[in-house]
Amino acid sequence: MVLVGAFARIDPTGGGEVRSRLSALSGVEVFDLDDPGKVGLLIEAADTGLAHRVLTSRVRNVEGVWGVWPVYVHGEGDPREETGRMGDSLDR
Amino acid sequence: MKAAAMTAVASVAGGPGVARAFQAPAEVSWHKSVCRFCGTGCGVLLGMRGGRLVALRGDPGHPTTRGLVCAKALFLPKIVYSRDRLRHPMARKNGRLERIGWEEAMDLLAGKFGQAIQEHGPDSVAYYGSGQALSEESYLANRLFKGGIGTNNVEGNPRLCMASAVGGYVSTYGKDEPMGSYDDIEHARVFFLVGSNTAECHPVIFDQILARKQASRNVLVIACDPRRNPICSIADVHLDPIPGYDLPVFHAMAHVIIKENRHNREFIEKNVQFKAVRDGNPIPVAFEDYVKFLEQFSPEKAEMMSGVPAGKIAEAARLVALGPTLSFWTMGLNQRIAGVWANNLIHNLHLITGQIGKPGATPFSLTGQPNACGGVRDTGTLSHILPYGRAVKNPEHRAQMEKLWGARSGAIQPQPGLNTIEMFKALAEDRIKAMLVLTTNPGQSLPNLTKYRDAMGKARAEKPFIAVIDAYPTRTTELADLVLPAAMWTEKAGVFGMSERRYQYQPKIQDPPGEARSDFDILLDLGGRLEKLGVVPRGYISEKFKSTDDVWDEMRLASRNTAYDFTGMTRDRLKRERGLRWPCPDDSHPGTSRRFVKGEDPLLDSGPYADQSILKGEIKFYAAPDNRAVVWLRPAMPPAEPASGEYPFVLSTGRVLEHWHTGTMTMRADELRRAQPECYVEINPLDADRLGIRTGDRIRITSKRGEAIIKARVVSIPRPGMLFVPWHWEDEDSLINRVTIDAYDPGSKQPEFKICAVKIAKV
Repeated sequence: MVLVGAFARIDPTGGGEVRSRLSALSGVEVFDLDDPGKVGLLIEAADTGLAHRVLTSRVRNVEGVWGVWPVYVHGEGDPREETGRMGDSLDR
Repeated sequence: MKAAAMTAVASVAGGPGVARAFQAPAEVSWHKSVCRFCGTGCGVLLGMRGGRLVALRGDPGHPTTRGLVCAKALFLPKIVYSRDRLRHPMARKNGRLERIGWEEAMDLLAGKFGQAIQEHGPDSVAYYGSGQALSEESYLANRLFKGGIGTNNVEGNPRLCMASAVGGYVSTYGKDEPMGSYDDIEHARVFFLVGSNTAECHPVIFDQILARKQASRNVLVIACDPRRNPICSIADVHLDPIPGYDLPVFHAMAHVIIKENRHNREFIEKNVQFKAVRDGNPIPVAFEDYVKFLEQFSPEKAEMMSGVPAGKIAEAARLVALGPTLSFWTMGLNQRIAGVWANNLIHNLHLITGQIGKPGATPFSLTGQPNACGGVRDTGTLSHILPYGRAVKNPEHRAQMEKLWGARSGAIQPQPGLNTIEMFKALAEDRIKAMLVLTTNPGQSLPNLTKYRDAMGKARAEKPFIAVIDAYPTRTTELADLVLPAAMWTEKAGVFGMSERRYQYQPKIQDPPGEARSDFDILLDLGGRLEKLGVVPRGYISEKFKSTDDVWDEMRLASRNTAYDFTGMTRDRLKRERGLRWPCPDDSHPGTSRRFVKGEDPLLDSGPYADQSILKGEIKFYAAPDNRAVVWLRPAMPPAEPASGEYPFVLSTGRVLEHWHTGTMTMRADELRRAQPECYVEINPLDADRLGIRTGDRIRITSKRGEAIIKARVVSIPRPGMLFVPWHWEDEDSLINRVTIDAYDPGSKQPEFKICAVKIAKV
């Protein structure tokens, strides 16, 4: 399980509506920040890739979201999960 | 964990609903460090549990990046543990790489270099380094090759990305590196983003620009790029020149500024000189000559040349003059045969308007690698320069470094060595007999790639010896005769120097996998063995250094009394603080936000550049001839290979958010690889419709040099007639550098990756 903390920079003129749209996304927990131009986000996902996809595909595409910045990631998967790119061979 | 994540966000973005103090998960110890990716230099905190890196967060205490990181950084803990990390030395035997021990590996490396030097002279060997090595590692390699072996065949991959920015700074102000800093973002009203996809390539900088835009409707953004990249979503003006034809646009902006009397006469009279080049030599000219020169670049004429509407050019010019203006640029300007000139013209706009050296007003080249600035540019690890603004051609500078290094008098050759492209050509022609490649992947990243891959890897009777030091297998290790496994990032200690002159310390917090060693250890070992072989003076390396700390102390000495002076950046300070910006001449100095400004730049108060006659806030370009920055009258040189009848498209290459450079690191995070699983070529819908191409079609892209076969993505991002391909993928079909051109800027020697002529066909 991976937990990602992030914030989205949003159009401050439509803050309430943007916040509602973000809250409607499954797997995304929204919390308030001091700045009306930002909202905090918690994404819980099975792996970092899913969390990343939520951020880059779903959150970023919500109308009124100008950008998304991850701040924190915590995950303690099995190191053997990382397959590398090319296996063990140096000669191809 | 949730509380930890929320407080981490709140501490960066500000929030009343949660405690401000970060609540660390139990048993996790945190270590201050620096991100491994781009030159933004984001401060990070690394969480270790049970000897394993388990968490990463942006460092909220970092003075400029303030806790932000981009998506790529999230995956660094996973990338470090990639299963295919190189763990043992390997040598090519009977055509295959086989595991060997370190003793055999280092004997082989030193033996091959020693033999080449003894039989063919010092210029038969070469070093090709990286803006990703630690500063101490690049400095040590430079010291070993230039002062010890006696060759200036010392290059690095910043030649491919930043050399034109260096040429721009040096030819305009006399010394390299920006005079401003990220502090200026807070004060800028106009952002001029040129050839820079800041949103995807420097996302943390982009966030700070967005924050300014959110805070005030008066903050305005000009984007200059032939692609409608994501920064255009916030741009008030978008200039989209035909690739390679932006120089007329910049001149036309200067034309408008002067014609409408928006230039700063007082600043010009006090701080600026004008120069043109006649018969190959720079000559001084008058302001009136500049005005006359600009007559050929009215907005209307520039529109004819560049395709940018005259009205937009004039609008952009007025905004730049309004200021305070902060210009950011990257590869769109630098990777050109007119790269230095393009840089000069951005500096021209700042100099004629006086938009420089005051809060929010500065020209600023962003950097793509974490240590291109501190590690390669500043340490002089390129073929024509020596540490801290010294030049190979300058006898006084050579003598200074020979003395400091303890080299024999005359050890450093008086002529520059081979630049990157010429170095690999020399490899093809067997003039280079042995090359050491460190932390970079020229087997994928060089332009006109087939030619140079053949040089590195093809079977020949007297094949040059190629040794590669890297943490991962790459398209270069597969060509090597010897592969040495390297420690990376968290596995070694040293300094990174990023875009705003900030030097930051990175601690070692874990051991490397297997038998991997740091590049520093390998270089130190090599130096000692070359001493024993008699090709480097005895004790030149082996008796000087035991750790990177020792090298750092010599680097500080080398910087003393230069325009880079960082004598005050002791190791202890760097370990404590979130980096320091040079000049920093003593250990009580806080570092410098703006150079060349009295009251901010300590070098104007004491030392060789001191001047007590100027007032606080006044500017003195003390490194420039006559202390005046140069406005250059540069012709609007076209690209080396414009589109033509047979090759009607212009190809440009670049990056995407999820990947970085040749993908050596980012492709090792399964998630990032899945997010952008394959290469693609962007085609404008007008072109695609005409050719019957749809998204997903496989397209053959052919230039005079080679071809690639890549899936089409039909999008209104590139302008018509332009194709864009990211260069991160290493599979045969996607090796776009087989197509790109190796023509290079005659000043900076930087290749023109951004422009070459191609034709396309559906496969």
